[in-house]
Amino acid sequence: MMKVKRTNGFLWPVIVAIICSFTLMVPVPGFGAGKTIVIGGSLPLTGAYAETGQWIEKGMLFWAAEINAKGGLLGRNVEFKIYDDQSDVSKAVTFAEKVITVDKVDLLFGGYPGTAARAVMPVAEKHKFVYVSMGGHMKSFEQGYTYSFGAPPLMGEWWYEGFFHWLATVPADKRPQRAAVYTINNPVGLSLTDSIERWTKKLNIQIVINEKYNAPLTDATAMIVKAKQSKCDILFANGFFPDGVTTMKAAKALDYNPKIIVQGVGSVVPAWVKELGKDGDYVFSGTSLSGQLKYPGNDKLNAYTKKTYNLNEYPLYFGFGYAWMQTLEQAVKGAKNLDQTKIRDWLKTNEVNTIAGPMTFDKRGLPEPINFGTQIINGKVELISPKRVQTKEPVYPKPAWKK
Amino acid sequence: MDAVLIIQSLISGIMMGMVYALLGVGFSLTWGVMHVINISHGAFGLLGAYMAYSLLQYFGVDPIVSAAVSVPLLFLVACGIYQLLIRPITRAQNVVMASMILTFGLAIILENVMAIIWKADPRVLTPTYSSGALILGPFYFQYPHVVGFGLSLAGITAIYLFLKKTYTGMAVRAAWQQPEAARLYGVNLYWISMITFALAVSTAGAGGICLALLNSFEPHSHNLWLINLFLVVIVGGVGNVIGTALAGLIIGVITGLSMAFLPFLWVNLVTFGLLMIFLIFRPHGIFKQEGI
Amino acid sequence: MLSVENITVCYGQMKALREVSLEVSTGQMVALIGANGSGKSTLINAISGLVPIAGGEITWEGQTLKGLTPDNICREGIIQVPEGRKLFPAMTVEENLIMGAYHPNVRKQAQESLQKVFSTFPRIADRRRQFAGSLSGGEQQMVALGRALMAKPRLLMLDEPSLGLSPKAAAEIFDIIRGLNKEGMTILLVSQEVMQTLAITTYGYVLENGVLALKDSCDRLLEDPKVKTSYLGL
Repeated sequence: MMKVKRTNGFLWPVIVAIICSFTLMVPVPGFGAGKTIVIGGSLPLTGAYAETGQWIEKGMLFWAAEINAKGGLLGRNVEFKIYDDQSDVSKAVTFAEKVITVDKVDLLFGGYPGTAARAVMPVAEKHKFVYVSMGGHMKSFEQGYTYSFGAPPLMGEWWYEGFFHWLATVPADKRPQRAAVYTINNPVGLSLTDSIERWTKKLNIQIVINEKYNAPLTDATAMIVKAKQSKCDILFANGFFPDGVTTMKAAKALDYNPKIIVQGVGSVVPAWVKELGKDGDYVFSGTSLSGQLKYPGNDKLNAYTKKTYNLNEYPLYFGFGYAWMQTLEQAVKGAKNLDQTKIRDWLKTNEVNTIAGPMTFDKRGLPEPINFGTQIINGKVELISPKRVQTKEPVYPKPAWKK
Repeated sequence: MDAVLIIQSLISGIMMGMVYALLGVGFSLTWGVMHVINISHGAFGLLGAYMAYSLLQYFGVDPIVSAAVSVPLLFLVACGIYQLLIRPITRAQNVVMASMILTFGLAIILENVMAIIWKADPRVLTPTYSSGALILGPFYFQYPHVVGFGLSLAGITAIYLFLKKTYTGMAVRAAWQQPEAARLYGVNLYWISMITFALAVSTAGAGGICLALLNSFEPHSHNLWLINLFLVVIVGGVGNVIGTALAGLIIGVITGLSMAFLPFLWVNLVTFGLLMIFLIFRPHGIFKQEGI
Repeated sequence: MLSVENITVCYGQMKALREVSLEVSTGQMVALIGANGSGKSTLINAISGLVPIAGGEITWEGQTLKGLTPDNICREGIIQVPEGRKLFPAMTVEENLIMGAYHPNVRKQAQESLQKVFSTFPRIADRRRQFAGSLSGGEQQMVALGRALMAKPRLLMLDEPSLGLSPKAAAEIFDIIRGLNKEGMTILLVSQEVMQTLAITTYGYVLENGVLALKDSCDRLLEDPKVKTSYLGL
C-alpha cells in the first residue's frame, strides 16, 4: 500500500513535466491535405537556431498567404507541414524522411542551418525530391546531387567576396597590412576562411594570427590582447552571434582599434544592432540577400515587416524563407505539375527571378556567385559593394571606440 | 610569450571562473544536501539573466540593483516549485535519477517559457559600463567582468557565511551530513530542503546575471552553462562551497593559461580533460574532507 | 512522566515491537536491555518519532505524542543520543554542540550551555575547533552527550553509549551518566552492557524479539536466573 502511494507521489510531477514539455515541442502540423498542395519539412523552431528558424517560417508563411490569396499554386491552395527539429541535425533528417515517406507531402522546403541542409540533401536525392535551400556551403554542392538547389544559397566561401572587392578599390598604401583571423571551429566558420586566404594573398596583406576556437567562446580577452600586441590592423572574427558579441565587447574594452573589423554571420542578424547599439557599428560582413536590394518584391516584404513587426527592413532570414519558396513556386509553375523530376529539369534550364535577383543554375545547383559587401553604419546594415547596389559609402578606417 | 598576455589572461580567467563558481555553488548544494541533481539549475540562472535584462531595458535598473529584486523573487518561485515538484520526488527510491528526469523536463519547460516571453533572439546585458574597462598599467579589465567577479565573490561569501554562521545554515549542513541526528535535534528536513533548494535557485539567478554580464544569452544557453556547472562541482566536490569556489578559480586559471600558451582550439580540450582526470582519480573533488 | 502503552511497530510485514509498555518517572534512571535486534533502538526511535507506530500510544506528561514529528518531540525536551553517536562529522566540535541547541526554545541559552558542557567535558573543550570526525571514540561520545545536554533535555535517552569504546572510556561514560542522574536528570539508558547498566540504574526492562520479557527493579533483575544465563553469562 505504502509503496504504491510513494511511487505515485514522485511519478505524477514527472509525468506532468514530460507531458508539458511534449505539448510545447509538438510540431505545427497542417490539417487535412484534400486538394491542397502540402509542402513539408522541418525548421529549428526551438533550440540554438530558433531565432533564425522562426524568421524563415514567417517568410514562408507570408509567401503562402500571398499565393493562396492569388488563387494558389497550379490552382490549388498551398499549406505547410512544418516540424520543429529543435536545432538538431539528426532530427531534421528524420523529419525529412518522415514528410516524404509517411506524410507523403507534395513538395519539400529548405531547412536551416547549413549543417541541417547538408544532411537533408542526400535524403532529397534518394527520394528524388527537389530541395531548394541555402545548402550546406560549397562542399555540399560538390557531391553530385541533382535535386538540390541553392536558390539563393548561403555560401561561406563567397561571404567576404563583396567586402574584398571593395577593399581592392582602396589604394594599396591605405589598406591594412597585418591581419588577425579568429575562426569558430565548425563548417560554417571554416568555409569563411577560404576567401580570406585567396584575397589576402592577392592584396598583399600578411596573416599574422590565424587561430580557431571552439564554441562557446566565453572570453575574448586573450584574443584581443594578442591581436593588439601583434599590431594587427584588420580583424576577422569569423563566428556567429554570441562569440561575435564577446569579441566586440573585448575589443572595445581593451581599446583595440584596427582599421577594419570583419565579422562573419553574427553581424547580419537583427539582434546585432539591437543589442550592441553603437558598439556594433562599422563592422563589415557580407550577405546574399538584403531588403535594400532593388529587385521586385523587396519593397513589398519591407512594407509587410514594417507593418507587422515594426522593422525598417525585413530580417535576412525572413527574406530567405520567402525567396526559396519563390524559386520553388516558379519551378512548379514552369513544370506545370508536381512531378519532381520535371520541376528539377525546369530549374536546370530556366531563369528564376527572386528578391535576390535573377538566377540560373549550374550542374551543382548553384547560381553565379552572389555576394554583397555590407557594413553596419548608424545601426543599419548598408550595402557597400558592388557599386551598382551600394546604399552607402563605407566608413574607413573604422573610427576609434567612443568611451 | 610575454608577461602582459599571461597575466591578463590569468586574471580574466579567474574573473570568469568565479562567476562559474557562483553559478555552480547552488547546483552543488542541492546535489550534496538533497541528492537532487537539478538539471534546470542553469535554466533558473538564465531566468535571472532575462529578468535583469527586462528590468534594465524597460526600467533602466542596473543589473546589480535589480538583483536585489529578482534574486529574492526567484527564492519564492523556487519555494513553490519545491513544494509542487521536488518534495514529492524526495520520497522516491532513487532520488538522484528521479530528480534528473524531473528537472530535465523542468528545464525544457523553462526554456520554452523564456522563448515565449523573451523570444528566441539572443540578448546582451548592456549596462552603462558594459564596454568600459578598468585600466591598471598595461592591463585592461572589462568592467562587466569586474562587476561579475565582485558580485560572484560577494555571493559565494554570503553563502559561505550563511552556512557557517547561521543556525539555519548549520542545519543545512547537519541535515546533509547526518539527517537522522539532525531530526533528533529539532531540524525539520522538509523546511531545510526547501530553504536549500530555494537558496540554490536564487544563487543560480545571481550567477546567471553575472554570466550575462560576460556573454550574450538565448533561451537555450543554459545547456552550455550546465556543462560548466558539472565541471566546477566535480572538481570542487559535491556540496562543498569552498571547493566550488576554488574549482572556479582553478578552472579559470587553467583556461586563462591555456588561452595564453596554447592554440585556442585546445582550451576546451584542456578543461574537459581536467574533468576526466578528476572523475577518474579524485571523484570526490579536490578536498578529502566533506566540508562545506 | 513518560508512559509507553502497548506499542507495536512494524517494518513492512515484520513486527519489530509487539505491544510493549514502559514507564519512566521524573528523576528516575531506567535501563532497557536486551540482545542485538531485540527492538531496543526501535523503541526509543518510536519515542523520538523517527519510526511510525502501528498500535498503542506514547504519552508524555499526560499528553499523547501521536502525530508529532521528531522536531516537535525534541521541543518537548525528549532528547535522544543515537546509537553510533551520529555526530556531524564535517562540523567542528563546537558546531556539533551548537546544533544541539538548534531548537528555538533553547537557542537563546546556547552560549551559556556551551560553557557548561565545556566545563563538564574539559577534554572536548580543547578540541572545540577540530572536526568531530577526527576525534577518538570516547571523545566523540562526550560530544554526543554534550550535544544532547545543549538541548536541555527533560528526558535523556541514550542508545548504546558505550558501544565501540575501550573499557576505560566506557567506564568514564557510565560515570558521567550516573553523575547526570544524580543531578536530577531523568534518563532512559539502552545498553547491551547489562552488568554496568543495571549497576547504575534503579529499574530495568528486558526486551526479547520485540516483546517485553521482564521488568523489575535492577537489584532483582541482577538476581534473576534468566538474566544471569542470557545476559551475564553466569
